Amino acid sequence: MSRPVDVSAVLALSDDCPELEDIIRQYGAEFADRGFEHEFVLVLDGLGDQRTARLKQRIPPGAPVRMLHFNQPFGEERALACGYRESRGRFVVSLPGYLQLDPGDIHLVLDALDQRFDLVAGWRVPRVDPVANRFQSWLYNRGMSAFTGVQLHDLNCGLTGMRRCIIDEVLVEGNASRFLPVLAHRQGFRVGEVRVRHLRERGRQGFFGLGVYVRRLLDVVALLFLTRFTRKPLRFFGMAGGLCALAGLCICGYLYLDDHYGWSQLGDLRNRASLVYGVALIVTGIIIFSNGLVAEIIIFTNARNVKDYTLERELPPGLPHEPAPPDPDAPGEVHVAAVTATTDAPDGMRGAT
Amino acid sequence: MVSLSVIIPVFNERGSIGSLLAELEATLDRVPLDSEVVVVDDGSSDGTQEVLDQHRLGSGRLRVLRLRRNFGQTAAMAAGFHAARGDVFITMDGDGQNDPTDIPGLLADLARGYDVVSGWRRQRADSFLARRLPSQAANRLLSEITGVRLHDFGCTMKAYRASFIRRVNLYSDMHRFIPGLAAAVGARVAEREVNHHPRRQGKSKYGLGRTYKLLTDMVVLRMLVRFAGQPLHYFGLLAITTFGMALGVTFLAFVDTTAVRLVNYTTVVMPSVAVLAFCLSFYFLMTGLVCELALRSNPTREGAHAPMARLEVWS
Repeated sequence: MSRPVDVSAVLALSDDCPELEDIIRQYGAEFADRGFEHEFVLVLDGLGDQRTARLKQRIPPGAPVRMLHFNQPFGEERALACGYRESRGRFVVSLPGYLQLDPGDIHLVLDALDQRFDLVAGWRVPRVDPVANRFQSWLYNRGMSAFTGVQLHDLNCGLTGMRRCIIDEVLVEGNASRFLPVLAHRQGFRVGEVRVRHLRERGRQGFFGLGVYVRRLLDVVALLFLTRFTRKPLRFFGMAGGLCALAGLCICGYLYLDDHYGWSQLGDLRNRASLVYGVALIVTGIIIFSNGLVAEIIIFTNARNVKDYTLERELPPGLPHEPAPPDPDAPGEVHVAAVTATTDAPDGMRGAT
Repeated sequence: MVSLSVIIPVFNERGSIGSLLAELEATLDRVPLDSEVVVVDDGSSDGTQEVLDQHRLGSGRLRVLRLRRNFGQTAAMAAGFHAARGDVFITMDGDGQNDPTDIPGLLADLARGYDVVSGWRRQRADSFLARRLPSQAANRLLSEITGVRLHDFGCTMKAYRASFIRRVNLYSDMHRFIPGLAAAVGARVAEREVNHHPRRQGKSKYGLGRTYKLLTDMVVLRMLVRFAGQPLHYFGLLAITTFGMALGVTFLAFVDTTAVRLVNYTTVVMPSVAVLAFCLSFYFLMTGLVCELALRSNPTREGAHAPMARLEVWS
């Protein structure tokens, strides 16, 4: 591990990024203003030789830049996760790949991290994209915050700041860099939100394509599993399989009684197609249920590597401890997104009951 | 070298934790063992922290772990187990319902050669309908499932040999099942009556609406206790049963169409049932194989399920 710095700025780049020079100069100047030693970690998400060469020309000489190269595009989420792991800063911020936000606003994020938050998400207000997009984003964010219990307004903002501990303790498993605020909140870290100015939006005008919706839906499903059922899969599969088998049993039971008492005058069982549905439902239910058992075995086998809690601190006998982070009141610009002392169920059933 | 660790998970117990710790210290002073007390503060927000800090400053053996938020009793206990340094662990409730004076008795049982000693709150100071009746039913079921006959799985007051508890994976609500899981890796489990006081302060943190969770947990436990090391046996048994069912139904249908007319379900009903049973049996078989794969491909499996043997040397 090389020498740590004060702040690492991580960028995931999927094109040759015409504004890279401005980004590095402007953000670099802001970091220098604070007296922060900084570095830029650029993750090149499968750019190819030509675009990589063009990109390299845009890096101002002498800038503290480290680059990670993917040979093929793996997507922003994994690129960011990779960049976070490679970064060395005490604080780590992710930046959007073009000048979408006012670089001066980075101080709001760093202030919030300095004071009391472990992770700070940007919230672009007011948005400058078309009304249709704003509405969809609003709907998505409202839905996600209702669903996850973390009151964030802008989950897709490219600007996120965090302390080192988030990367060490939250990002350890998987590549869910997109959901870091939600996962960090669930592990008891202090998550906040700052308003940043939205200067302009690039690309995508009008409605998002169908693919975006499918991907976001899959995101939600993934998050559901990440947060609710990873430890107790049978609670989910058992519910689904049980309902399925129950429906099948109802159909078969009805058919049997009908055959016996002749309510519907439809003749005997061999003429009833719904019998096949009934039996198939029972079988499907059993299969779903036993999939839950398989999942339980896998979890149990791997459980020694699993830690279900995060430690804030350990205090030995007899010694006074250094006082907790001093300022319990949030400063003006920081909007407290989540009170971390909430006592929601640790691995709740709220989704399944 | 510490040899006894008392582990206490607490969540919002400002009212009772102080007197409990005082009594505990008095008891531990009389126990002829080096000891430590590990209190795991499970994200309390009622000032429990301050009370703990006061005690910690005046004590030579109290360690306090603070979790980042409320993670639940099992996770808190796991945190305590991971941090504790003793050869023997004793767990207690932080609400003052367990009595520290029971500790010497539990230790005596361990000295007698048991690996896990579970407390039994014979005179339970809780209401009958809301707490004692459902708990009796649950204990019967758990005894049946795990093969460990205990009256009171839910009692937090237990003593463990540390080497065994380190081999039990603790996650999500599993703390109730520790005796069963420990027995599954070869622990000798005993039971001892302990005192139980009514709650002095605060409210009980359990509710009644846990039946579904408990039931699914029990299904899992039954499977894990018997088959965690060889899942193919479990699913293989299911596969053979369903395969036999399919054969039986086919045979019946065959006899029925060729020889005697016993039932009139033959033409559609019985073949379709047989076909589905066939499918199910193959599915179970394949599932068992997948499980074996998952199990065998885990590099840490050594010691995870292998039974622990007691070594006895005659010289």
